[in-house]
Amino acid sequence: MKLAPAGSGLPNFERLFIKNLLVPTIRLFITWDIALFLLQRELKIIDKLLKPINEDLLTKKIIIDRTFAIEDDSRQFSINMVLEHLEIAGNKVKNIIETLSLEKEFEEDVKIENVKPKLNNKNQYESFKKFYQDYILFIKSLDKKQSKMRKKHPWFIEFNNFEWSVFMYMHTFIHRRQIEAIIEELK
Amino acid sequence: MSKNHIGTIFRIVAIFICLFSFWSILLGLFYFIISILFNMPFSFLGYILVFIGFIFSRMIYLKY
Repeated sequence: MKLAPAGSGLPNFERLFIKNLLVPTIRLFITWDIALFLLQRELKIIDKLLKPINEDLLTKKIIIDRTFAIEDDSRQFSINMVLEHLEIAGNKVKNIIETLSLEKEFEEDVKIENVKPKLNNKNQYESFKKFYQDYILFIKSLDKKQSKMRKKHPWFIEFNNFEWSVFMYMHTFIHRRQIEAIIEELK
Repeated sequence: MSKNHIGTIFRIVAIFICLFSFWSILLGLFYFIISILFNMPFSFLGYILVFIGFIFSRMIYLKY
């Protein structure tokens, strides 16, 4: 099966729904602390999902039906590739939040192609957990002030530091659902 | 549209309802306590105004 290349984006309806409805409404009702609480909840769910999975299955690539807010190219990931993607993209988001919080411009171009997984490592989950521990500590120690500086997400709109932290939660949630779809397919 | 796809949209709606309810209850309690402390009448219209005020303040004055 030939999938669309990385960076080809989401279907228009889905992208516009997220951009014009989901992002503006979610940011009204979420605070820094709620975003962090929900993110930690997602991590607990991922942990619960991965516990019974055999180590060999974690690196097994499998094609799934497209899940919500996932581009076509990501349909062929293994569970560890999803975790690797979350870590790479999360590192980028962390850097963006850090830069914007200092009211500095994040000059690097954010491209979806650059945050795709490449390694499919066996011990990816350990590295994933370590990254998220660091991220949680980073957010807890951050001065919770919304920045005036913004950085555009390649698919949506310009986000400030707070909105990137909300994005971090939504992104983890979307990929947790992808992990569930992969597990379902592996059964 | 896959089952997982529909499930994700359902969860997003559920998250939205949870967040909406959380703030509604919190603001309702806040309004209730203020109305008792200052001997003000507790009205539904007043509550709606407090909620609209909250939404506007989050839209315009998004500082924290």
